[in-house]
Amino acid sequence: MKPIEVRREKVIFVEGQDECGFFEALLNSMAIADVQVIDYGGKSSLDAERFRTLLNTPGFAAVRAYVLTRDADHDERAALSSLQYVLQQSDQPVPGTGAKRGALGCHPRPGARRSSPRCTSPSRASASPRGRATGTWVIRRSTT
Amino acid sequence: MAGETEYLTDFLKIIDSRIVSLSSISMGDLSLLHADIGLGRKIPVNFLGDGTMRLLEIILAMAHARHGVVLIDEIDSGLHHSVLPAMWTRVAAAADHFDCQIIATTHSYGVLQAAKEGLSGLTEPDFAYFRLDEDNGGIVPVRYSFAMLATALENWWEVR
Repeated sequence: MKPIEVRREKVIFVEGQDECGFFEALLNSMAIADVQVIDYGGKSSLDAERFRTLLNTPGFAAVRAYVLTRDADHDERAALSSLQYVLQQSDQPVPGTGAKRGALGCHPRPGARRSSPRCTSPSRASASPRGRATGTWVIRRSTT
Repeated sequence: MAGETEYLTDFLKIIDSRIVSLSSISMGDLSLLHADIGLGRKIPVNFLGDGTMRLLEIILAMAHARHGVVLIDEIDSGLHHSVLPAMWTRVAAAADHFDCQIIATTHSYGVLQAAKEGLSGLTEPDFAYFRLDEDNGGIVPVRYSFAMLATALENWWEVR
């Protein structure tokens, strides 16, 4: 088996094999072939050093846009903050903090109970009641 | 090399534990390095194989480069994969012993995995890995700390 390298100009970073399988199936069902899904190995271990290591992967220099996802678990705000911190410490644009490029989104899993169906900013995210969020945070940065 | 024969002998034991001692034997105008491997007679070290010769080449270069830099191209050349972690451990120790810096190249993922295993005690600034990447026709270095390299290897991410 060959080590994982970046082969597409669009990448979705996910936190585990389950998410990897989900996104790959979703992309396949939508007939999207120009997006690569890469497992970063668990949200608990996603620190800046790990993310910088991922960004060093051969082929990443050609990436035009990537999505960084993680499960919000029981605290959307904390989940968002953790991703923002990782991006900041990795010298990446940080959506939600005035970055010119990029976007934030909170997308609930099917069947999840949420007070708002979609969050687009940290302030809206933080307005959601703690302990009820079960969505997946998505941060996207366009490099072009 | 005065006083270093035992050190060289120990270094070569990475690949051949039979080596008891090394000695230089004059043969005409030449002086050839021989090894005692317990056969009752000493044999030229090149009879011990390419791996032994490779390690000898490395350790002699380090011994002659005290306080300097040693450049090693394709460091694993001639070496069996099973000895690579020990090779890294001993090369790092020898670099400390001879106070020299090692700059080694490889194309092998296995050699990097062996470095992760053999150099686990090393931290910055004693270790850095650079991948040479192509960028618009030029070459740019991409730097990994030891921890970053270890993370990449543990996750089976490409680093070459």
